[in-house]
Amino acid sequence: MTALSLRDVHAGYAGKPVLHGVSLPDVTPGQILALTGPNAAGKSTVLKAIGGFLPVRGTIMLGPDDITRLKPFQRAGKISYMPQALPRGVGLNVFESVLAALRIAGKHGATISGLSLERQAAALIENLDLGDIALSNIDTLSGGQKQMAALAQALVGNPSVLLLDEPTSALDLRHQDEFMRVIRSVAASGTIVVVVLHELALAARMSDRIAVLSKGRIVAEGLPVEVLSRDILADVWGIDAEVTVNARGSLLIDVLGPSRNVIKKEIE
Amino acid sequence: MTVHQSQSAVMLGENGERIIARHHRLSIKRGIMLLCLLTVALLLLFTDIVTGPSGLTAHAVLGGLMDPTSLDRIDAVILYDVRLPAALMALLVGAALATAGVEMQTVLDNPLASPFTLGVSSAAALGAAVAIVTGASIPFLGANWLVSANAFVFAIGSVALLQLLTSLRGGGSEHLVLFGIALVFSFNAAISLLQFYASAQSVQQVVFWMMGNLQRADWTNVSVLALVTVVVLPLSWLASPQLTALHLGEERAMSFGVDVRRLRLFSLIRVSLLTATAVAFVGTIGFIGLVGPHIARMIIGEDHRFLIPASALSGGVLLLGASIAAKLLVPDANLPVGIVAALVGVPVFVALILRQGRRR
Repeated sequence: MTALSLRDVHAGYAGKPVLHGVSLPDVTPGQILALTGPNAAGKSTVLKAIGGFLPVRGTIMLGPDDITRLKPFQRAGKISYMPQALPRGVGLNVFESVLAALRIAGKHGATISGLSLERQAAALIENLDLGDIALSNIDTLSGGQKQMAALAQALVGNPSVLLLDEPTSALDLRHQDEFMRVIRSVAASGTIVVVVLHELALAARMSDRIAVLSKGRIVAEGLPVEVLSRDILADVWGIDAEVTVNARGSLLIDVLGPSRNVIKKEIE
Repeated sequence: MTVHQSQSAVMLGENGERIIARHHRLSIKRGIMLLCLLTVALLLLFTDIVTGPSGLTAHAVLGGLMDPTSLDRIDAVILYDVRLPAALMALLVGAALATAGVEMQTVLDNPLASPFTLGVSSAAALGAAVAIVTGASIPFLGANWLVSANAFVFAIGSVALLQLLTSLRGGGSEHLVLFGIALVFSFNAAISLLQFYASAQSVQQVVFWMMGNLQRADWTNVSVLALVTVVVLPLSWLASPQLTALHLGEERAMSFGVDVRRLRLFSLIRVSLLTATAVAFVGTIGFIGLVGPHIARMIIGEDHRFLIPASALSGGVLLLGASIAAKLLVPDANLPVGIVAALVGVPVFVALILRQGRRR
């Protein structure tokens, strides 16, 4: 089975280390791992390290292969990275943008041979139920539709690993939920999904596992109900919150105010 | 919903077939747009050849183009040694600068970029100024060739310098722009310094060279530029899938499988070849490289497979238009086309920005 794991990963930007030895046990196909933590904890940096956008010390294994030696363009078809938002002024329709991604993926052998790229693009768009907006200019789409267009591009080449950097941060509640449901179905078809999420309730509901990052280190990892405890919320986010699980098994976080250690620090 | 694709999953529904059919229609429409642009370019090429102070009629020009012996000696010289090379030069320079412009805008992810943003034309002007002021000459080549050759060498050299500086800082597009602008100011200062110490006659020549003029066209330099354009344009077009992907964002493009550093390097080499050759022969002609791609974008969209040829044709159309306007506005003055191109380009450019502002 092709699982993704990180062992003692150090990474950062031009002389500024951000990750100080991040390790993650196997994320297996079909699983969604949510990365969460306060601002500047290094969540996006973990994604960029896996995606190959940063020089990395340590090992990142995908199945039997250490992928840290591959350049990002050599990871095409295996690992797909979806940045937070599409740029402004794209000037392409959804179908064209997917076709553009397919033309590149085709050069790396990540497309289905013997089938025209146009048919592959149309199939991908149909599978994601984007038929209605397929020929609309991306610039004219709503935030939720834009993210779905970006997802269609990211799924080109049928990647084993899908990396999503705060995909829901600009979406309203309904579209957050809809987008993450699609991600669930992508995972269900055998993809490893690593997603950065700020919304803890959303992360708890939609992911199989949660990893909490703080100051470039993993401080907790496991099932959402185990990880998101009152202590972790106080230690990492500096908030005092009551955490309960309701009858349906959903995690409820009731924020009461700043945590004791934050208040203590302010008094000092 | 199954998202994974496999042979069996690619049984397209009605919707999928409809999307493909509509996409095909859109592609055909764009192909027709390109043909229209080409037709306009050819019409303007002919108009440019016909326009001028001597009384050469359209009929005589047509006859002369079909059969050179139908013209008397003077008319044949005017057509074949003056008008035709100048008109072809306008088309080629416009195409070269606008193609360089569209690549620059995509690669730097900046709609205000042009082939001149990174100092290529300032470097060429400095090279020309050095040649004019020192008055040196290359054996077996005329003095004019030294000016062009020096302009070319300086332009290419500036891109190499820029690439070196940027690679020291990791090769990002923002550093490329910053270093490029720094080079523009340095080269301009160096030109001023040269002018300060040069004789009045040299200063006049340098200023005139920098204005951009198609009258320097002859068959030799038209052939050289034609060769460069014919080789480089298809290479630009071959990179169009990568350029379209890059337009969706740098990290996204890398994730699709684009080697962005390599793409940027080769793109800069193409841009510098096109720009340096064009500028070396006709001097600085501004705004074509900036405005041409934007006009093409409005007509045809961002798919670079269409955008690159459309930019080349728009650039040619713009410069031919400027050349015709220059001849019509001031019939006997031989107004440098660079001045007219900028005068026409500025209002077009302002209108574009205003339109864009309204759209957002």
